[in-house]
Amino acid sequence: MSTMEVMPVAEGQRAMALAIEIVADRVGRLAAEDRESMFRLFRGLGETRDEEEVSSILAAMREILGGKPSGLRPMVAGEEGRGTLARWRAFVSAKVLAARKAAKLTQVQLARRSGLPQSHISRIEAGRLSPSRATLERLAEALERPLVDFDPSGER
Amino acid sequence: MLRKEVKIGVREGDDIPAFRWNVLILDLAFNEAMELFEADQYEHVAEQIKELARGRDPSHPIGQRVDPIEGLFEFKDKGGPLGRKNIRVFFGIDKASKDIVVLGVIQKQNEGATPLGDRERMARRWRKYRAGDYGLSPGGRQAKRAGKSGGERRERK
Repeated sequence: MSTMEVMPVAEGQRAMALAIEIVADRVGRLAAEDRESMFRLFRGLGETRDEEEVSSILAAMREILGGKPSGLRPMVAGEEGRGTLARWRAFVSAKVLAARKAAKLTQVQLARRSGLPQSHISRIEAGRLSPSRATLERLAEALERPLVDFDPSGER
Repeated sequence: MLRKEVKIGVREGDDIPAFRWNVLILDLAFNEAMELFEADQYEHVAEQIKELARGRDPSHPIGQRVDPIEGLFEFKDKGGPLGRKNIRVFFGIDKASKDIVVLGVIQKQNEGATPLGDRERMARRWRKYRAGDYGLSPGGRQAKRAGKSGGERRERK
């Protein structure tokens, strides 16, 4: 093996050593809890080959080392009844109402069966609430219907 | 996009439970949501968080799936307007100030456990919130007074 072939490896090793030194210095300057968090992340990185885990760990390391500031604001919700969400609410509303009528149940009876508040069912049937997956699962079970009846994308 | 604030005590109709909790969101979490969601998907998710704010205990809602995760909570949802997106919204509960604090949003690739990096990131954000590092939240002020904080205070945006 010639000297020309060996040199880049040595340079690479030096660059890696320098990078490790810089990271170690940055980690050493972190607050104690952040430092502990970084150690857990380094350990986690060595123990996983899962792509989602690796990408999550790297994002966390970047956030801790980057120290990006953030503000806090009230969470806001948009105007109701527009676009895709309006169509989705209308779709679920019609499906739940039809299934409840077919089962000959009142809203109160469906509320008892599903464990959901009657006001929740009332708002879904009125198209004023976009139900979560958990809510749809409760309704589907109470109405003895497959989930896909209420959500065409309803793979489990 | 027209938007309205979620405020405690607001009523939308006689049959709708009033809000019992305020809902705050970190800019970091808001930016993650903007990257991840279409407008309608964001509205759907915001609606779910509003529903949590109507309940007595946002950690045990009736119509949403919420799991505890290392002192925080994780709202899980998919389907409907979210389509194939399997999402997680992380939040903390500040009982002193009656705030639900949305800390972050991720899209999961599978039904498995929450990745380590996300757990660490969210736990860190909650620590910083408690220390008052994200602004003048009531809970943050209380933590400062109690001498629990070590962080630099920033003005709320």
